[in-house]
Amino acid sequence: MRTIILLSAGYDTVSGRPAPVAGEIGAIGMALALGGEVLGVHVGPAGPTMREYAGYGLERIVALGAGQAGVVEALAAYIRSGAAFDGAPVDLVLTGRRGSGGEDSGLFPYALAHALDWPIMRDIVAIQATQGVVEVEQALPRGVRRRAHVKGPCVLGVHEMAPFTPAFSFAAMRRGEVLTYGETADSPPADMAGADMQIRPYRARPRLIQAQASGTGGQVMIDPTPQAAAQAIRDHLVMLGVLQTGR
Amino acid sequence: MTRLRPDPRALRLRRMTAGQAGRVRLVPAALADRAGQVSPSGRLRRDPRAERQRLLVPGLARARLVRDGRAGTGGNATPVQEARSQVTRIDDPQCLVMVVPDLPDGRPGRLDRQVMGAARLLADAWKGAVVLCCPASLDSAAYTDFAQAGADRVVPLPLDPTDPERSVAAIGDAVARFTPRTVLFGESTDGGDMARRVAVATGRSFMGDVEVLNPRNAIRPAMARRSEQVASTLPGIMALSPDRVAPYGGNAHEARVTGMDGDDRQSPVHGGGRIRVAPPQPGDPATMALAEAPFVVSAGNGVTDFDMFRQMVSALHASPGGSRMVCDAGLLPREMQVGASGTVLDAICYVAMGISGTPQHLQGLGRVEHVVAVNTDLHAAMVERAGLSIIADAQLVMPALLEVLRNGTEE
Repeated sequence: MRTIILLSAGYDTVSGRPAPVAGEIGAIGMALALGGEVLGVHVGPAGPTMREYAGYGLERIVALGAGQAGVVEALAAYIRSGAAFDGAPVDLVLTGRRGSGGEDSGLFPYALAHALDWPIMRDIVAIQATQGVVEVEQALPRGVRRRAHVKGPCVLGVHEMAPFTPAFSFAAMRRGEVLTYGETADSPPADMAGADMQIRPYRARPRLIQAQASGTGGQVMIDPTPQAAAQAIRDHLVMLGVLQTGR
Repeated sequence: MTRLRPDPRALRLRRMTAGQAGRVRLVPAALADRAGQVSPSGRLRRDPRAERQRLLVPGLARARLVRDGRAGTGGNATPVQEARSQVTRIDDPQCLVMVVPDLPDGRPGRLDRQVMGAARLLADAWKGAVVLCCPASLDSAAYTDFAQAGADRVVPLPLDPTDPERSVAAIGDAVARFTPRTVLFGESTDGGDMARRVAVATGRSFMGDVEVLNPRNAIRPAMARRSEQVASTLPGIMALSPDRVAPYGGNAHEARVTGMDGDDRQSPVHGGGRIRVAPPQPGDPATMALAEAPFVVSAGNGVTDFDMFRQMVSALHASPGGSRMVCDAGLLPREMQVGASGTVLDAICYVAMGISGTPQHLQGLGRVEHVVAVNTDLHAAMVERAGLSIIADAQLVMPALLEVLRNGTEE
C-alpha cells in the first residue's frame, strides 16, 4: 500500500500561530495504521510546520514547487508521474477534512480527485484495503456509520472522530526529512481577495434561536410509586421514538 | 487600503441639528443617519413597532423579545403563519435558484427548510423562482412539504443513494438544463459533500460554510476562522451552514413538478459505478463517543448503585454519562462527564438520574431536544429543563425501570 498524505501549512484557530492541522494529523495516524509506504506532500515552500508533521511519525515529506502550473495540476502531475515512490503507482491519497489558515473551503481534495479522475469519499473513520478495492467506514452525525466500497486508487478525507491520532515525538521530528521537488520558484500564494471578494476580520454572528418545545417545565410526577415512575419514563421514551420496543 | 478615511468634520456636521433657543445640538453618531426621522423640534422620533420587530425571535407562536444585543435574527424574518390558504405562483421567473436538499427520511429536515428559506429570499429579490431537486422515488406526500417550504418547481431526478457519482451526474444535467443563477446545498455531511462534487464537476465557483446569505453578499469564515470572505457577487454553488437563515414561513408556493424535458435522453453517467455505499447503520451506544451519541442516560449524586445504573443503560440501548461529582469521585471515567468541563452533547434525548442541574452541567446539554429528569428536589434546575420530571429517589426508580424494560422485551 503506497499512501500519500496531503499536508498544509496551517494556523492555529485560537492563537493564529503556524501549527499542523488536526485533520491531517489524523490522516497520518490512519496511514500509519494501514501500513505500507507513506509520504507526506505539501505544495509550497517547506516551512517549520512540515517538521512538526514529521514528529507525528511521518518519515518523508516532499515540499512540491508548483512552478507555473496551478496547485491542483502540479500535484496531480506529481502523483501521476510516479516520482513519489520510485516509479510505483500511488494507491491512496489521504487528506484532512479542510485546511486551516487558507481558504479552508474543503474543495481541494475534490478538485484533485477530479483532476486525477479518481473517486473520492470524505468523513472516513475506518479503512481496509484489499486487492484494488478499499472498504471504508464513513461517519454520519449522531454516531451513525456507513460502509462503502471504493474501486481503485482513490482520495479519502479523514473525519475528526477517527481514532488514529498518533503521539508527537521530538526525536521523530528531528529524524524526519523534508525534501523539495520541482520548480521552487516562489509563486505568490493564491490571492483570495478579488474584485468581488473581500477579506476582513472574522465577526461571530448569532445563530438562529430555536423555538424550544418545552421552555419552562413539562409533565411533573410528584412522589409516584417506583413502578408508576418507571412505566411513565418508558412510555415517554417510546413516544419520543428513542426507545425501540421490539428489541 | 480598502477602508475609507473618515472625515471627522463632515461627520460632526452631519450630526448637527437645531436645538432649542437657537442652540446647536449634536445627535448621537449611531442615530445621525436617520436624519429624516428627526422632528421639527430637533428630537429624534422612535419607531417602537420597528424596534419590537427587530427584537422578535421568529418562528414562535408566542412573542419572545431578545434584548441582549443578539437580536436582528428577527428583523429579516419572513412573516409566520399568515393566510396559508393562498398559493403563490411564479409563471415567468427572471432567473432560477436551485436547491438540492438532503431529505433525511424523505422529508425536508430542519437544515433543508433553512436552505429553502435562503433560496426564497434570493429568488424574491431577483424576481426568480426556486427549483428543488429531489429523488424520483419520493412519494407525493413530500411535495406538500416542498410547497410549504417555498418551492416553485420540483424536479424529480434519478438520484442514487448508493452511488454519489451518479447523483452528481444527474444534478449536473439539471444544472445544465435549467442554468440556475445559483445552486444551494446545506452544509451537512451529505449536502456539503455533494456541493463540492457538483462544484468540481460543473466548474462553477463555490463557497461553503456560508454564514450570512442575502441578495447582496455571502460571507463565510476563512483562514482558521480568523478572517471572513465576503463575496459581493454570489457564487454559482453555495453550501449554507445550519441555523443561519430563517426558514420560509409565508404563503405556500406552487411546487409544480417539472421534468427534464427538451432532450429526454438518459444522461451518459460518467465515472459512476466506482463507489458503492451501503445503507447507514446506527452505531453501538456502549462504545460511541459521548459527543455524537443520540441517547444519553446520566448519573449524578443521587445514584449510588453503579452496577444497576450500567444494567439499566444497556437495557435502554443508551450511552452512559455522568455529572462532575460522579466523575470526580472516580465512579465513572472522565470521558463520560457531561458539562462545561466535559462533553457537550448533541443528543436527541437525555435522561438525568439524580442530577440537580448546575449551570455548568446544563451547558453540556447544548442542543438536546428532550430531557427526562429523576430527582428528589422539585425545584431543581434540571426539573425546569425537563419534558418529563419524576420527583422521586433515582435509586428506587432504577430497578423498577429495569424490571419494566425486561418485561417489555419478554412480551
